Amino acid sequence: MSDQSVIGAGSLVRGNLSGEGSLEIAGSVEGDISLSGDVNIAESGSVSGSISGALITISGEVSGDVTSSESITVDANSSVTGALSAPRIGIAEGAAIDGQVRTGGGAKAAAPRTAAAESAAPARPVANRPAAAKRPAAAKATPKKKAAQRRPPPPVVPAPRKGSKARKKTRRR
Amino acid sequence: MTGTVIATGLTIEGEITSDGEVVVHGSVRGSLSSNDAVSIASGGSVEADIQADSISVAGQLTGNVTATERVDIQTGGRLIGDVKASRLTIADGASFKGNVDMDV
Repeated sequence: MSDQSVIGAGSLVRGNLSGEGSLEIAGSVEGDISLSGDVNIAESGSVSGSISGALITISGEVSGDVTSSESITVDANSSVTGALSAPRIGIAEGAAIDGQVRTGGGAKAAAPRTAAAESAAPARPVANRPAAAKRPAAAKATPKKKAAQRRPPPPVVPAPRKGSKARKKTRRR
Repeated sequence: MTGTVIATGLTIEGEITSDGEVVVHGSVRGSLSSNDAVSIASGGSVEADIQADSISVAGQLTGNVTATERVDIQTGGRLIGDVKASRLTIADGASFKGNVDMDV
């Protein structure tokens, strides 16, 4: 009993929750939640603030980023305003989500993602010109297309494309 | 209606308000108010002013306490702060430091 925390319906927490164990929220939380265990937001529950935990289940309302080390499940009739990031994400029909959804790396992906984008950058000058490295992605897109037209399928082309996708994603954020 | 339980290992820093019962096994810093009972279980630790119907302390509590009904400091409980309540019990083995206002 004592490693399962509950914020009951009719309860409001204004502040941060952190620590171990699992948490069920049937009331409201205005603040950040950071737990090593599972977080379950019941239908009557609402959170405005970021959430991080292991298995996160959302049946209520969340406004803030949700990051999980395992999985996020967004049930029907729930609503999320903010980014979802986890190795596995499940979204039920009827759920309202406004924000970026990213699967694959969870919390750990944040650092490697930028590292991957940076390592993709030097790959580009090899295909084009070294001077192009510092130009914005939009400026680079044209020379890349030209290169593609000259030599349609060689293995050089797919690599920069992957790089450009990863790059645009990170810029958009 | 389910009550609120702050389990061992969970820390809340901020303000808690509740219509229902609140049980603290973990730790709370800030303030806590409830229209029902608040109990700080053995092992629980609270640094907050508490306002509730009744308050039971078996863990550690630092802060001023106001209860509309009663305050019970149980064996092993430790309360540092002022108590305002019409009824107060301090069990054998409890620690208490503070003033008592029984609304006489």
